[in-house]
This record gives sequence, C-alpha cells and structure tokens, in this order.
Amino acid sequence: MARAQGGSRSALEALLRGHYDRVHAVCRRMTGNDSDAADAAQEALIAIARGLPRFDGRSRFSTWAYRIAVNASIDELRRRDRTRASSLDDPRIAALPRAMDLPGPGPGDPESSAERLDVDAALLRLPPTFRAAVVLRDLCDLDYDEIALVLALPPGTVRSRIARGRSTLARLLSPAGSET
Amino acid sequence: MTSGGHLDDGRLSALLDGEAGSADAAHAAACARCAARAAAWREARRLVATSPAVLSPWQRDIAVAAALGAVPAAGDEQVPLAGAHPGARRRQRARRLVTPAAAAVLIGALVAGAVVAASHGGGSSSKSPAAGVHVAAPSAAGRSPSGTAAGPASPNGPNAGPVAGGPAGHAAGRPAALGSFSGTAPLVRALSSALGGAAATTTTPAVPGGSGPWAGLSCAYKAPSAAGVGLALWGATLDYDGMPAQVFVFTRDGRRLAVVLADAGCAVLARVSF
Repeated sequence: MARAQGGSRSALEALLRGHYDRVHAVCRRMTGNDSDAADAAQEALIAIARGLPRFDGRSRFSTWAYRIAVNASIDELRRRDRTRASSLDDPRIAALPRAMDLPGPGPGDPESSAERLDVDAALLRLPPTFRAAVVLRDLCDLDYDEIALVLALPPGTVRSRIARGRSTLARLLSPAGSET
Repeated sequence: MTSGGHLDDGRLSALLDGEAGSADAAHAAACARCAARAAAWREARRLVATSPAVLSPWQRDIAVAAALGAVPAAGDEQVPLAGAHPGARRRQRARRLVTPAAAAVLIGALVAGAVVAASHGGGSSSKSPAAGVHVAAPSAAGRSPSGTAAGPASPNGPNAGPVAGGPAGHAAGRPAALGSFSGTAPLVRALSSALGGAAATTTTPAVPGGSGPWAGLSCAYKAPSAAGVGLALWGATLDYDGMPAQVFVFTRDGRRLAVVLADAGCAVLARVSF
C-alpha cells in the first residue's frame, strides 16, 4: 500500500489486481448485469488509482474501495439509463442481442445463471442505497459502522435499511406465496 | 419488540448478524413462523453473498490497465501493461481519456503491434478460453533495437497466433478502416488478407451466443482508452450490414476469432473464426 501510494507502478498494479474481484462483485450486484459491472469496475479502479494519494488510512483500504465501487455502480446505472434511452431509438440496434444476454457461468460454477437471475432481479427491486447497504453487509461483510461510513448515513439508518432490504429480498426470492 | 408476538424485521436482521439477544434467539428457535422467516432470510443472504464470477480474466486486465493508464507514471517504472489493439476509437466514452503516459504506451503498442507478435505458435492448448496474451508496449525488457517489442505470453497464452501486422494506418495511430461488408464470408476473406496466413477455413454462426472460446468477447473490448484497447490481437473499423462497427481479432485455442461489435450500444453483429 505504501509503495503504491508512493508512486510504484508495480505496487499499484498488484494492489488493483488484488482488489479487482471484490470491486467487480460489488459492481455486479449493484448493476445487475455483467456488461455494466465491467464498466463500473473499470471506472472504480481508475478512481482508486487516481485517489490513492489522498487515501488517509482512517478506514480500511477495502472499505474505501467499496465506497468507490458503489458510487461507480450508481453512476453507471445513471449512464445506462441515459444511453439506453437514446440508442434504442435505432430499431436495428434494438433488435440485436446485448452482451449482457450472453450466457453466464454453467451449472458447475460458483453461481448458476438461474440463481443469479433471481438474486439480481430481486436486488434491482431495491432502491440503490438499500441495495448498497445489503450488498456491503452480506457480500462484503462490512460491519454497520463501516457501511455507515461508506454510505455517509447514520448507523441506525443503515441498520434499518439492511433490515428492510433483507425483508424485501427474502420475500422476492422465496417461493411464490410464502410469507417471509 | 415484535409484531403479533413474532420477531420484527429489525430483530430478525439482528438475529442474522448474530446480534440478537438471548430472548429473541430463543423465540426464533421455538417459533415455527419466525424460524421459517429466518431460514428464508438466510437463504437470501447466501444468494447475495455468492460472489459473481468475473466472466473473463481479460476484464481484470483491461480494468487494471485502464487504471494504470489514468495516473501519471512516476518515471522510475514503465507502465507494465499495454494493449496491442489499435482499432478502438474514442467515441461513446470520451470520459476515458488517454493520459499522456497512456498515450505514449499506446503509440508504442501500435508500433509493436504493426510488426509481429510471433513469439509463439498458435497451437496453445490452454484450458482457459478467456485467458489472453498482451503484445507488450515497449519496455526496458521488451524493446528490440528497432524500437519494437514482442509481447510476453501470459501463463495461459492462447492469444498467441503470429500476426503479420495491421493495415496501414495503425502505426500512425489511426484506426484502420477495413471496408464495408455484408455477411461473414467477405469479412473473413478481408481479415485473412489483412492479417496474413491461411485463408478462411471456417465460419461460425453469428449472434447470439458467446460460450466456449467466444466467452467474454464482448463490448468490453470497445473501451476507447489507451489501456482499454489492450488484449485484442488486432482491430479495425468497418461497416457491417450498413452499421458502423469495430472488429476485434483474438487467438484462442489455436484459432483466430473475430468479433464484430456495433459502434452503438453493446451489440455483437457477427462472430467468425478463420
């Protein structure tokens, strides 16, 4: 870390490589598809590289990186909405498959596509700040104080948003009609 | 505490986090309804916690390269990643600006890519369909006396087919225009001619799909930054079925694969092997 902050390219590369998968995971859960996640993760890494000299170490590096990943994902979602509105005006483009339609991991992979579709669809039903709170808690295993820092919210608000987000997710992911 | 004598959302959430009081934990153990809710919540948490896989290691390479290209070099080390793909254009995402350092890397990579990445044959048997090889930018270790560099193979190394250089215009830093095409057959002929080597042998059906060796070959490769251009072996612009597009060539498992991506949106217009 210190070497990367000091300007070492090799240390910076190692730092970025070491955190890419977790950053990507946050972006993937936040954006709900591979294409936007790849873009958001790339933007997050660029922001991390640029902001590293200003990282003051008051939080864990990973917590700081997650914050950037969440913000990059929200930015990507906003961009996607704007781009989609314009590109879909061309009927030839609208008729073509999107990269996000490409098949995901197979049944033997850590996450089957059917399962992923369900959890992605459910997560996208949550408002972004609720989604971020749940993702940071259940995917990144941050504690409430860290999530409060990332989202710039009081810990009590984080706690209630996680509870409400989990409740909604459990309802959406459970078999139809079950009460959760 | 509860709604109707059961744990409310806040207490159930605390139970999941191991922060519930003993009374709430005891209630959850004894109450069928709360136990069922807790089980459903745990299952939802398990699904969220399952890390989505990075579809292609190339995504990681591209993102790291982009990040390294976005910060000024300290001067004591060369940027360790570079791309050989010269065809990406600054179009949709001007926000990914080429920094001076990255531009230097790009120019070097373009010169290098215009010569040959022939350090290995095309018969790799990598089991990873998504692994790649960079044609490196000039570096202290890789620069030849003529100022060109052949790329080091990645450990998996399938993107290894010799390429006889890109069309005119690459070395000058401009994206090459391959022409206008309708259908895969003339495109494959043009690619074979441009890249050298054997004439077309096979074509694969175009979209949709993207499994097997095609996995991960998507619009991620359109990233129009100096770092984002990396990792494809060759590239050019073209018109395909009347649409402005870009073609990216890779070598995987001993085959050359070309993916045609529309400039607009994230559409795969065609995939061919040759």
